[in-house]
Amino acid sequence: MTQPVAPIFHGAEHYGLRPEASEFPMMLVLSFVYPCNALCPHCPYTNSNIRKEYRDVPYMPEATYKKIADESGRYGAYLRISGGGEPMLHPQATALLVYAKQVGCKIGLITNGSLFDEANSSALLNAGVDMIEFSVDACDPQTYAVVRKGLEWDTLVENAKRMLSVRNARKSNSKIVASAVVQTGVDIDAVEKYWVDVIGMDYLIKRKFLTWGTNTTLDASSSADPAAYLNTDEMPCPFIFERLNIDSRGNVMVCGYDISGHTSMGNVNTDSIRDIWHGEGFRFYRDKHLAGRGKDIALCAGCPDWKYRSWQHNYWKVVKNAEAARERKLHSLGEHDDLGVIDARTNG
Amino acid sequence: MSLKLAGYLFTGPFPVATTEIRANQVPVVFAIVAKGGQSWAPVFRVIDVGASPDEGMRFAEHQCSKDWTAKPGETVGVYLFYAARSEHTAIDRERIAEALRREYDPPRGLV
Repeated sequence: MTQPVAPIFHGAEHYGLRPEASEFPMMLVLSFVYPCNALCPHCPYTNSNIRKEYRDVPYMPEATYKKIADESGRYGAYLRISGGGEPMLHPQATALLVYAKQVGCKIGLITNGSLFDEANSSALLNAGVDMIEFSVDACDPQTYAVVRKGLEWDTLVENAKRMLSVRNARKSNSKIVASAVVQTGVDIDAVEKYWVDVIGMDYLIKRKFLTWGTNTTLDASSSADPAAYLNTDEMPCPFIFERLNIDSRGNVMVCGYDISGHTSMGNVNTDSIRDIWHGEGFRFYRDKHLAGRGKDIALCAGCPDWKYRSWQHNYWKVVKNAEAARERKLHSLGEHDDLGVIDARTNG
Repeated sequence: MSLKLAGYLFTGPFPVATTEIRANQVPVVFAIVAKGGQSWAPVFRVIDVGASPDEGMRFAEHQCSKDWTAKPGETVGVYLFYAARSEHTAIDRERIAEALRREYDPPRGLV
């Protein structure tokens, strides 16, 4: 008999700073690089002027990055290495990611996977990078050529298999996941089946198609799942209670919607992140949202992505599920198993 | 920074005093925008809208530039929508500018 599937509750029992973020943000999303080697049609940077506007600082400088890592490491916070381009294009990518692990940060790397080789894959896994997310978006070369324009399918598959193989052989703690945007022309269930069951990824993150509103020329017609998570008239946005975003200049933006950098909550080159997190700017946003008046703020009123954020169905859930899958997988592997490609049975 | 106005993605802000569109450059639709409010919660106000002529223009010499004034706490800058000649005629640029005027009613229009 088929069990009914419980709908996911996206709100929270109590709203406010998450307990883990009471001192310091749980997550710092870094615009580590702006250049990219792909032209993905759903990417906000490919569909905006933002890359041009960061031509003066295309890569986060080492000093800025290390200042962020040094302070974040003391709190064991997550650095999400993402932003306006492909992170592995940063000339010091591997060394800086390894550095952040050495000073106590957790690292979530979001990558298109095109630039991995034996050396950098091993270095990242040896350092214990916590989560490596391959943005795959497809499960066949034809679709991939459209949604990941400029990249090679065979390279992606080869690099993903190598990463998994090395991880499995070393029984590394790194979680290796794939992600796909739920957009028209993509069979998301087939994508999940291929990358999790066939290739052996720990998890597939299904991302909503976002437009980033006034920042880009994207429109929502490409979304294959526009159903909202939150009722924004009733529920505050979770992001301002758990994370912040930093661009390559060290400017702190209120959240991931403001990829153009219209807001400035402070600058990590001159201010402590902890002070910024508890500063007047973030208090302003939190107070408004907790009072049910988030839409009094022009930025939030115009944000089409708030409704796709969730207090429950979020990155922390991905971390938990991916870790459980990694443990199951490594526990089930025998010495004669193919360490790169996992049979579907081990994913149960 | 990017700023979408009436569906068109503008880039800026550039200083009024020194910004120039030369005749051999891509023509633009421009918006004169005042940015005010706190640094963490900015408010954008459209003060004026126009289109560059084929012969180019200097913003500081525009006939209305003396009216492009900031209120206390605001800074004024030029935002540009590049309207390539291959895609937009001079009439198209004026049409876009008119659409922006209708939507934002400068100089009062809040974005």
